[in-house]
Amino acid sequence: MGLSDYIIRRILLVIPTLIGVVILIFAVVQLLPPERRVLLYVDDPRFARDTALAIKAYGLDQPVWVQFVNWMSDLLKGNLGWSEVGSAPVMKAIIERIPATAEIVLFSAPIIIFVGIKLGELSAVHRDKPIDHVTRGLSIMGTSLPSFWVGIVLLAIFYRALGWFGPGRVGNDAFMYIQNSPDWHWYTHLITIDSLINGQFWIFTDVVTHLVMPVITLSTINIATLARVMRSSMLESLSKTYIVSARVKGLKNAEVISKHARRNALIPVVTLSGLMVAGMLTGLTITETVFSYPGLGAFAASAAILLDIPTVIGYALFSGILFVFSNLIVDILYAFLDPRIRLG
Amino acid sequence: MSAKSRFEEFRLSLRPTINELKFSLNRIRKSPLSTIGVTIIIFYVMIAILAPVIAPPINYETGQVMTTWEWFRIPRDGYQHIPSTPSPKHPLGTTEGQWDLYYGIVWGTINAFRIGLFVVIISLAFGLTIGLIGGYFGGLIDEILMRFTDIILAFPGLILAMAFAVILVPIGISNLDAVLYALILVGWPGYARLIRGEILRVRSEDYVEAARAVGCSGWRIMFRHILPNAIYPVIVIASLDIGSIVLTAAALAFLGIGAPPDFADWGQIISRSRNWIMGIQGDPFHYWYVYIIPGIAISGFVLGWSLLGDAFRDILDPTLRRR
Repeated sequence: MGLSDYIIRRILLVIPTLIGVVILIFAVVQLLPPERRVLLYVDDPRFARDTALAIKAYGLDQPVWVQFVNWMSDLLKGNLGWSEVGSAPVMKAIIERIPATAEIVLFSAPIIIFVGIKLGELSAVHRDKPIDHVTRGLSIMGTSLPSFWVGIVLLAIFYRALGWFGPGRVGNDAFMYIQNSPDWHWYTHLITIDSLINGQFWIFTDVVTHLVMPVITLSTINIATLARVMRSSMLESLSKTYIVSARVKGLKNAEVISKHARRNALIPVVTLSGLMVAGMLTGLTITETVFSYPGLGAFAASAAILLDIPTVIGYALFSGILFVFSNLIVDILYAFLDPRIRLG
Repeated sequence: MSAKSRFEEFRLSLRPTINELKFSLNRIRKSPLSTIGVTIIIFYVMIAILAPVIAPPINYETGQVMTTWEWFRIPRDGYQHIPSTPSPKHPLGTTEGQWDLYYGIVWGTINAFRIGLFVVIISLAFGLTIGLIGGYFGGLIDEILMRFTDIILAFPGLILAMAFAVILVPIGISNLDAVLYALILVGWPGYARLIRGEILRVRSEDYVEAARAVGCSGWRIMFRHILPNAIYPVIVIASLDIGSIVLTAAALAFLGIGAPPDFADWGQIISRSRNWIMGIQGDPFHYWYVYIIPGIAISGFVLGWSLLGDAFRDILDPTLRRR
């Protein structure tokens, strides 16, 4: 079986999972009485005012399978209902908040990947030396500390006591400028990039100082997990006979590690990156809430407190689908990296 | 056979078990990290057991002992919004609204055990049943059950738990229970997959084949031969999970889904401490106790379980055990 066969088979496997995801969400929502469920269908709150009428209009008094078909066709049209918290249709509210969240991910992901892999590698190469103990200790700490608490402590130190970094996405001045200045143009909706294109370097530094704390908080836990996996994978790779033969050949230690051990150790780590996406989505929900960062996660959290069901359900669907696709990408990548998968 | 010789026989039959136990304890003692883990958990267990003694549930206003069902309600000393600093009456100070922090931490320990153990045990039981059915029957039943676990595992756990909780609350389940049920609904598929995988591995072992050849019944093979050999890794993962379940529950409480403000729950206490990071003029860390103390309580708890989980793995896994 060739690589393309594998990829096609893997893509086809996504379809039943996606259908399952949608059915699960639909089934869970069915637990609610129709008066509550109706908000998942309406795209304008005015329709929801007369509940009885809306129930009739959206067919919530019909048999379950009719309701499912209705809901499914709504979903395919991108209608996820009305978001109370966002005062907009759920889909629109979610899309509006993606850039803010993407900005955190854009800065955290490289840090997590680089630091996590490097720490795991160092730990494995210097097994049972002080640096290994320190790294392992740190990674156990990193997985044990509640991220929201880390966020609170960071706020107390860097925001209140030192005044270096603030919560939110931008400072007041920058916010006013972006809102009101005719010179400001949106290109990517990522303020760090747009501010550079607009030539407003002070906005760039302002946004970066606001990103420091969320990025640190989000990174700690993910670095800890990554370092742990990288360590064990690297240890396994270092114990292989090809490492011995590379050494016997007379290669320098640095070369053995970078060309022979690390490359092979990275393969299992790639599978972890799918889980990292889930970790990021979870972490973002908490991190954004702690730092009052106006992204997707904070939006969903505020909706959950107010029992704004369409928003939470929409967010769950969104992250479920995102997670399914990221797993797909990881599996395909894995096949590229490891010939045993695609040929096996 | 005399009673004495029967006892002697019993003692001899126990000897291998005792020796293995001694060996296990010795392994725990030799690894410093495991020792720390065990010590931490024993410390928390002591606090939980001694809670009624070290933090007697006494109402501040009436001076009376609270009724049992109120024990997790932190007693309140006044209605002032600003937290008060540690004092002899309130050894760790009070949270906003004058709830005693010390009481909250001590009784929060029991609550943490309650959440962790309840969620893990129920989801384990659920997962074991489903995994057993799938692994034993195989075929179509297995396929259907595993596709179902796939679907739940297709979501990031915390977010699906959040969605479940938001649905469970409006249909009349209390906030507190909704979080537990949500975590169970999200947690069982992991165990189901794990136990199924182990069963498939063990099922092809020679001793199972031997038992089948001797003519053992299906049930006997399952429960006497397969399950005891398949269950260890699942128990290890489950013990590791107690800490992370408590962490997730706390995260949900932080997001505002969970315990009411007077409930002895660490996550809830940290969640409401967020308003006090500003301190006062000239002293930014004036209210440090409101957020530092509950944070240490929960981090220590989770740390203990992760260290213990690592120790369990080394001890229970026969391939690592005698290295």
